[in-house]
Amino acid sequence: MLELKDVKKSFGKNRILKGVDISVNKGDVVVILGPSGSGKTTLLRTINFLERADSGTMIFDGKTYDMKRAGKKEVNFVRKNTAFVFQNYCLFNNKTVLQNVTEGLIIGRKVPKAEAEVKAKAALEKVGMLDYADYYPSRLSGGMQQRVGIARAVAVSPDIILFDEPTSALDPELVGDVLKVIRKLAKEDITMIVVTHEMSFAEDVANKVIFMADGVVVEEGTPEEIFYRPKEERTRQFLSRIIPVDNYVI
Amino acid sequence: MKLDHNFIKNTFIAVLAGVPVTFKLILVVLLFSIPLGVVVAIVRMNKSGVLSKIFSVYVSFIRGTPAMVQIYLLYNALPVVIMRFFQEKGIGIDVYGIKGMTYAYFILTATYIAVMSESFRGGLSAVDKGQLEAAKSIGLTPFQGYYRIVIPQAMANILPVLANNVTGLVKMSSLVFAMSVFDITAIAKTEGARHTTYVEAYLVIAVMYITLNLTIELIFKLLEKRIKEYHAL
Ligand SMILES: Nc1ncnc2c1ncn2[C@@H]1O[C@H](COP(=O)(O)OP(=O)(O)OP(=O)(O)O)[C@@H](O)[C@H]1O
Ligand SMILES: [Mg+2]
Repeated sequence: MLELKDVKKSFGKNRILKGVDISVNKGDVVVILGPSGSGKTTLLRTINFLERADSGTMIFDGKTYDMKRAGKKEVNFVRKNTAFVFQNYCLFNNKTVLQNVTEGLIIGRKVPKAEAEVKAKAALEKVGMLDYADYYPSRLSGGMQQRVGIARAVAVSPDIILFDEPTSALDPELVGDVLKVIRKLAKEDITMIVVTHEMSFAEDVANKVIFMADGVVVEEGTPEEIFYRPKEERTRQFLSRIIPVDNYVI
Repeated sequence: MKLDHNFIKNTFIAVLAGVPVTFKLILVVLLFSIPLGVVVAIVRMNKSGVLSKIFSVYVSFIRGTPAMVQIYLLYNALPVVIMRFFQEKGIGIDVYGIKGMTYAYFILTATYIAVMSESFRGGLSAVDKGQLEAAKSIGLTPFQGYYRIVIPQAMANILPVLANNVTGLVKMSSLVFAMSVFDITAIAKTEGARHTTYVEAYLVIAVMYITLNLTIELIFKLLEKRIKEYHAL
């Protein structure tokens, strides 16, 4: 349902993405791993056109897009059928929790207000935040804000949700709740790409793991393959730094 | 010194005729300079582009010159230049026929676009850029993102500065007498000249300006309090 071919992106002289190919099927949970600066965030952002790729092709819902030249209409179509969960939540601070979630429905998709509120409340229920519907974001903990961020993404019924390190800005004791919510979504067959460093989460939930380094996909496979039988030396090095050595077989 | 109470009363009544003019000036200038100031601020914040450079020069010019000098250049000097140009080209538009009030609207708005844009730049940059991206990611257009999410927060951030700008505008509106507009200052001036009772005349309008500006400050204080309570920004 989503395919990227040869995506390239530079910032000035820095080549960040050097030709990335990935493909995601409906219902997939794809986890992207990789060292800091390898271009994971940039890749997710190019999918949603928050960043313009210098070149590359995207096939999404059967349509082909030139990632450099896609026009306003095409960008809009992709944005309306995808959703993004940000590392630092990026909730709208001037809107209540409920309004944060209805905004994309009422303004972005012209859903009537009453219907939008029903949908938004269902999404908030799903992430366990319905009781806080009337709160402003500044009164919520990071974990709660991120759950609202997830509800905001879920509510617009996107074909795919892009998560950029959804738990890395959270205090350790708040990570669990957010991961629980994402696991729940994964069970509902919602398609998603998740950039994360939470290995046990990746192992449980992903059906595909992609390891990126220096702007290219180094290796991809099932969690089994990547975590326990990595083929590439680069992958092994990376994993040995974040998983205790006795946890995987060489 | 003894103040002439009777004269104070009479001047007050005469000056009242200028109140609508002063109010109209302030409201029209705010109506245009706030949205245009936001636009200039946003263009300048996205650094690249010729437009951004032009705006930056424009803001420097306005900020770097006294209002009286701008009024002289635009109201007295520019029409002469334009008129000469029109006559050479045989264009039959009478620039001198444009009313002082039109110049006043134009010049004060031009100044206040620059003033507002500088204030908004501060307010806008204090709003996390991620929120605009989040707005785009859920299908809002950039305009909707700015209008519904970023600008309200920027406004809330800079309410005290905006209050300053508005009271500043009230004071600056008194300069329009130089363009033969009969606002409260101009009327007080003529009344004072007619009866040689300048002190009384200026006392009357001083009280009027203070009252107006205190009211404006109060309104902004209330607004700030409300936003703090509800939005907890
Ligand atoms: N707008 C930008 N302008 C200039 N350089 C940028 C920009 N965005 C990202 N970069 C650079 O691109 C490189 C890759 O960034 P990116 O955020 O994609 O990496 P990442 O894999 O997500 O890393 P992390 O794990 O730290 O989040 C970084 O070196 C970063 O400094
Ligand atoms: Mg990143």
